Amino acid sequence: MKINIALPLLLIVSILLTGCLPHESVEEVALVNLAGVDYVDEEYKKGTVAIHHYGRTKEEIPSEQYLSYTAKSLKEIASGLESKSPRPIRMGKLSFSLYGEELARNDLSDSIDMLARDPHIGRDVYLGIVAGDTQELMEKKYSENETTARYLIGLMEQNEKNNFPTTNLHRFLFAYYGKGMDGFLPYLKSEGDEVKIAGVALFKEALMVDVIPFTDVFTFKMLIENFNQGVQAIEFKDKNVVMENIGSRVKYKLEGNNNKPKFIININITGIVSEISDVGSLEAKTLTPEFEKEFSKYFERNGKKMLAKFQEGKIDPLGLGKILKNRRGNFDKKVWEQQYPTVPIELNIKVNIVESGISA
Amino acid sequence: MWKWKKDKGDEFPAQNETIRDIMKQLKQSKDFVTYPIDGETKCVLVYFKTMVEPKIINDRILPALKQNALHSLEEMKDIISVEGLTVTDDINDFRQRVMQGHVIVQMKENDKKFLTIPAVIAEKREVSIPEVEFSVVGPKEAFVESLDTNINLVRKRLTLPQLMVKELSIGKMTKTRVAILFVDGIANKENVNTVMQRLGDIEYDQINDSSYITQMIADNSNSPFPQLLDTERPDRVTGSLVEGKIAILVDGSPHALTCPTTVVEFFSASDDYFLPWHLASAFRVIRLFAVIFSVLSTPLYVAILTYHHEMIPQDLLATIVSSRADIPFPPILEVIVLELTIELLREAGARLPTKVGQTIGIVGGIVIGTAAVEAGLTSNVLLIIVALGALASFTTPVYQIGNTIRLVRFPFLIGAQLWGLVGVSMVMAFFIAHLIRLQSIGRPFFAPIYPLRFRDLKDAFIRLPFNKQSKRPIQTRPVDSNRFNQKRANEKRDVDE
Repeated sequence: MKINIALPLLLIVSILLTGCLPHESVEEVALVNLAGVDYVDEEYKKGTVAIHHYGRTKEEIPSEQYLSYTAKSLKEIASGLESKSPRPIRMGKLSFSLYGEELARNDLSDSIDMLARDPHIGRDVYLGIVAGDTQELMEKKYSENETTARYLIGLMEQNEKNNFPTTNLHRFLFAYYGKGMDGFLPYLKSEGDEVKIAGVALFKEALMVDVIPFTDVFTFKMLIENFNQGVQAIEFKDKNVVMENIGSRVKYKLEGNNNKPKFIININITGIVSEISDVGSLEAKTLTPEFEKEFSKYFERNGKKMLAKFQEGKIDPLGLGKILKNRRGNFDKKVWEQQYPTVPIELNIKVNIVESGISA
Repeated sequence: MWKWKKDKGDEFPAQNETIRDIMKQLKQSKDFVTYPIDGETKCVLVYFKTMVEPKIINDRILPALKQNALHSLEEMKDIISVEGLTVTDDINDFRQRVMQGHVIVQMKENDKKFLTIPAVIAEKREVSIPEVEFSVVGPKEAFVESLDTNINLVRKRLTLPQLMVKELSIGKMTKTRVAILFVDGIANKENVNTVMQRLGDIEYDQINDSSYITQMIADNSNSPFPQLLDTERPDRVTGSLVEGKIAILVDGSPHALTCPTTVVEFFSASDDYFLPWHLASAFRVIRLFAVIFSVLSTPLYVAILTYHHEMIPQDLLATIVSSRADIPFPPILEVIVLELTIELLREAGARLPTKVGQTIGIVGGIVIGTAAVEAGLTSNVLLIIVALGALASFTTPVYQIGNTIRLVRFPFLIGAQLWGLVGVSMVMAFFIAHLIRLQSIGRPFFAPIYPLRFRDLKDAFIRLPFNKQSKRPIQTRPVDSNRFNQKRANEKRDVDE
């Protein structure tokens, strides 16, 4: 008998309560695609969002409007931005979140925390560090046919297929909250009318500490993940030789125990030499073993330099600590942090060039 | 078996004591004829002239009576060459027979003893092509309103001594003949008994169509889902009988019912068996997808546009937002307006004569749709979604389930508006729970899915080739589950062997 009253009552209450929830249709809200946060001073931050105004026909490129507001916390910025917007601001469609380098060098934890906590925001949002002012970068018009947000996403998607390692909010959070790992984000630079990926910004927790220049990004990606594309050029006897990667496989080996770990990184790269200036194709064929040697030498030298830099800076973007934690157990973060700068890391790179001369 | 259940006092019309009373009552009707013959044979013919075939009276009865001198009903019975003559003095028989179109012969008026001569007019529609379940390939016969013709259509396809036809009459006033067909030795006895018992228990004054029976013997008569499959194709009925199902035919209804059935069966067309199995399976999957699309497309539109903006792909956002920009209504009102328009068109199309109906369908669809968009009442994105949803709901091969799908969409819409995707999921959970609980003649309605009958999946979402269909569906619990010897079926013999 009791359930006979309780069930309809529950239904009625839950139906009536839906009236208390304000909801807007898509065209009644301002959807943010692109957001940026800049450092003003110790206390203040400046937030900028790009919202789209869609025309009456879908052929029109939506006009972008930029709103910015300076306040102490992101929550205040959010409510401050509302005061400048004709429609309620919704972060659900956020696809690229930018942070000024100065802010990143000071502390990014608040901003990351905000993204991590909002259930409306997806996990495939791109994050980026901007050299200079984010608002400036956002407000520039890069393409006639696309919005800036779309343009920047295209830039990232395109590069991730090639030399640039995969980054997004999910991956960054994994590294940020994971033990024995540090995150990295793309480092964007605005140059004249263009914006370019200038390298990889390396983080220690939520602090940006270093940048890998774009020329070394191939080597960095090679250490991080398996990939089938990308291009690397080297100098060979005063000539420029370009290798097109068609399959790079990285394997981490761990020897020793918690007290004395040793890491061995084995990388196999299969590639095609596609562009050699002033070398005949027949000659190129005989030179292939030499190219292989030269490329592996280059990668080893470059990789070792990079690893030494990581150890020196006490950052671990490769997640070696995570590997130790996963494979050996009994992980002690403090012990690991002391060990890390001196832990031996062996890097073996094998380059296999299967074809030369013809560019695909 | 069922007769004892009926209380005699409930009979309609009330019992008349004597033949004289009945005659008095019948004589009030204009088409009732009392025709005395005053020759060598003295007798009285009593009949309804609208119910009897004049040919039989003129060619068979009158010559026999006038050319011979007959002095008893027994003599007449021997002389008149019409089948099914009886001599009796049962008052109930008198009333029933005269009403059915028999000619009654009495030696003198209001005599107790009488002879009945069946002379019913065989007025019926020709067997024609199926209109509801039309199929390009396959047989083109459909049931008609005559029960005997319908049984004939089934029997000539299934010439089996084991094909049983049980008959009972239902309806206090209409006394409609209802036939139950099943194959003895295949159909489960328990199923047959359930059907017989439920039919016998029907207490109602009229049965005008088999759909009355569907609603009356359904396991859950409050469910929007039909629990007996109705079909106008004799070949489909034969197929069901061979699978161990039971068919119910109702006099005056061109639709047969088969049971027990499953929800998946409502989406299988007879085309599925006329086409190669892979094509048939692909089309069946498309049909199932169409149904899901038809039910969920507009609720998802409402839920996503109202609550879950982040689910709209970036590239679609401009299209949706710009088409919605001029619309003064929230998505839910927009959807309800358009859905109701479609439902109106559908109702109007169904009520109007065929020719006009088609025009209304096409003209109404295009004109009203375009005008609504131009007037800024609905967005063109929604127009496409609603039109596709309506189109998809027409893909169901069985008309009854199409009506269900039409209705089921609305609870989903309400759920979507109230609680977004959570609401859609809640309504979905409710309907799935309902389907799982539902039974068809005591057999699970959601069968191959829950309870999972792995063997029955061979003819559910996809239809496997005939040589894989060696077992009858478990769902019907057939007495003999083997359709054929699979080993022999798979043997490949050379011509020389």
